[in-house]
Amino acid sequence: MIRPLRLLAVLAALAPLPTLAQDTPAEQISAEVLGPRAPVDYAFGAFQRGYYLTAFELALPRAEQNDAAAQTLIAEIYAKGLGVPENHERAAGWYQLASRNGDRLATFELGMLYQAGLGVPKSRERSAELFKAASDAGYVPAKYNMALLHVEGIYAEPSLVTAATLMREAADAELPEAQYDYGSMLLEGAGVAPNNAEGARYIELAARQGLTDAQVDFATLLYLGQGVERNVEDAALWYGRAAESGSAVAQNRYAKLLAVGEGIEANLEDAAMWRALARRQGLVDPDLDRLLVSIPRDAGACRRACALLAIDAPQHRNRCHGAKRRAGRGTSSARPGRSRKCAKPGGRPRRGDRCRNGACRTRRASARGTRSPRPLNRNRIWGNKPATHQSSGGARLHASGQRNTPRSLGRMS
Amino acid sequence: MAVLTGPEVAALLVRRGDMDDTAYADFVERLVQIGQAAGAAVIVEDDVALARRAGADGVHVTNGGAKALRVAIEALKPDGIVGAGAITSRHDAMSFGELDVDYVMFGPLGGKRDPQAFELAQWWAETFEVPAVLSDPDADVAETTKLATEFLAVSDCVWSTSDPVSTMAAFDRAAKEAA
Repeated sequence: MIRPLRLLAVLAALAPLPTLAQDTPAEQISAEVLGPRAPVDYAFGAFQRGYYLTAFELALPRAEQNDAAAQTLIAEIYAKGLGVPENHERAAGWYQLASRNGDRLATFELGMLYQAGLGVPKSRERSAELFKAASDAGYVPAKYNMALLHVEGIYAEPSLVTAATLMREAADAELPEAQYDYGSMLLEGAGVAPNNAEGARYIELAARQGLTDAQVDFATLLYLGQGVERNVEDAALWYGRAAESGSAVAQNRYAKLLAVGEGIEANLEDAAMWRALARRQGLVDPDLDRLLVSIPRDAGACRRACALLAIDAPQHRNRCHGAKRRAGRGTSSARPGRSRKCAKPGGRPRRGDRCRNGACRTRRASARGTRSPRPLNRNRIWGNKPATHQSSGGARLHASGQRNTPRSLGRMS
Repeated sequence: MAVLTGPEVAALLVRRGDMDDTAYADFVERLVQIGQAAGAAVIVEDDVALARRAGADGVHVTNGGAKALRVAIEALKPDGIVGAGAITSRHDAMSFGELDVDYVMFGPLGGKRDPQAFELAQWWAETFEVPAVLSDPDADVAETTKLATEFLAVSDCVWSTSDPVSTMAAFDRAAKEAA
C-alpha cells in the first residue's frame, strides 16, 4: 500500500520540471495574456485526486513551516479520516494553527469542532467567536451560521435585522440553506420588510439547488399561489421531487394530490405507496387515510402497493404505530382553505408546516435556535476545500444525506 | 533543598548532561532524597530502569521517540510519570501527546532558549488537554504571567544566579499571580 503512494509522491515532484522551462512560445504568450502563473499546490492536487497520503506527505513539511493552506489540508485529512484514522484532536490542532495564520476556512471548521465538542472541549461561546471571525473574513457558510446565532440570540446579539443582512449575503452567494432561510424570512417579514414575491424567488433558488425542505415549501407556495402564480402542476412536480428525497411532509402531500388527481394524473397505487412511506417516518394523516379508505381492501392496485411495501391495507392501520408523531398531522394539508388554522392577524395564507397556534413568526425563530442538531450546517461542499479551490460534487450527497431526515422531521413538530 | 522548600515546585527533572551512567545514577539517587523530601516529584531523563531502582517518580523521554515513550508508559504507568520531550515539530507533538503521556515539554532543558518553543507551547495549551510544559532556560519572571501553559520549567535562570532561593520564590509568586 505504501509503496505505490511513495512512488506517486516522486512522480508529483518531477511534474513541475516542464513548466519550469518556460520558454515555449505558447508558454510565453500565455504568460503575457494571463500574467505569471500561480504556483501549483501539489499537495492539494494529490488531495483532489484522492491520493490522501501523498497529499499528507507533501503538505506536512509546508505545514511545519506555517503554511496555512497546508495546515488546513492536513486538518481536513484528519477531520475526515482520509487515508488515516479519523482524529479530531489532531484536526483541531492543525485548524488552530491555520486559523492563526489567517485561513478563514480553518477558523470556520475549528468553530464547528468547538460547536460539537469534537477533539476540543465543547464551547458554544468559542465556536461563536470563531464563526464571527470567519464571517467577518467573508466566508459564506460562517455568515449563514452567524445569522442563525443572531436569531438564536444567546451567543451573538439577538437581532433579526443583523441576521437577515447576513442571511442575505449568504443567500446571494448561492448557499442553498441561506437562500431557503432568507426566503422564509422575507415571507414572514422577520428582520426584513415582508415580500412574498422575493421570498418565493429565494426559496425557488434553494429548491433548484436540491434542498429538500425548500422544495416542499416552494411546492406549497406554488399550490397556494403565494408570491408566485398559482400552478398546481408545478406544485405536484416539486412535491414529487421532495418526496423522492425522503421528506415525509412531501410524501404525504404528494399522496393526496395523486389520490384526488390534482395537478397530476390520479394514481391510487402510487398514492398508497407514498402514504405508507410518510407513515413510516411517523407522519399520520387521517385526511389522507379517508381519501384512500374507499379503495376496496382487495383492490388490485392497493394490494400490490401494499404488498410491495410489506404493509397491511391502509384502512386497517389508522390507529397503528406512528401515533406518537401526532404533531405531524397538522402539517399535512396541502389543500388551500382546509386545516390552515393560522390565527395571525391579516390571515395571510400560511404554509402549514410552521403555522400553529398563531405563533408563526416567533416559532420559527425560537424553534431554530433551540434545536441544536439543525442549526450549523455541516455541509461539506464548502468544508472540503483547503484553500480557495472548489471541490468535487461527491461531498454534496454526503451532506444532503446527513441533513434530510432530521431536518424535515424537525420542521413538522 | 532550600530552593525547593517554600515555592510550589511540582517536579524536579534531573538532567543527565554529559555524566556517564554511574555518575548519573549516583546523582539521581541523591536528588531523589532531596526532591521527594521537599514534596516534588523527581523525574529521570530517559532511563526507566534507573528511575525504578532509585525510587524516582517518573521519566522524561527525550530519546527514541514514540517507541521509547511506549516502552516507558508500559513500564511505569499508572504509578509513575511519563513525559515527552525533545519535540521538534508539531506533528511529533501530536503523535506523542496521544500516547497517554502526563505532559508534553517544549523547549530545551538547558543552554539557549528556543524562540519557537514558546509559540508551540502556547498553541498546545490552547488546543490540547494534555498539559504543556514550557522549558525556558532563560525564563524571565516578568513574562511568567503571560504564559498559557500549565507548567513552566526553569533551569539555568535559577541555578546560575547568585541567589537561587529568592529567584525561585519570585517565579513562584509570578506563577501564582498568573493563575
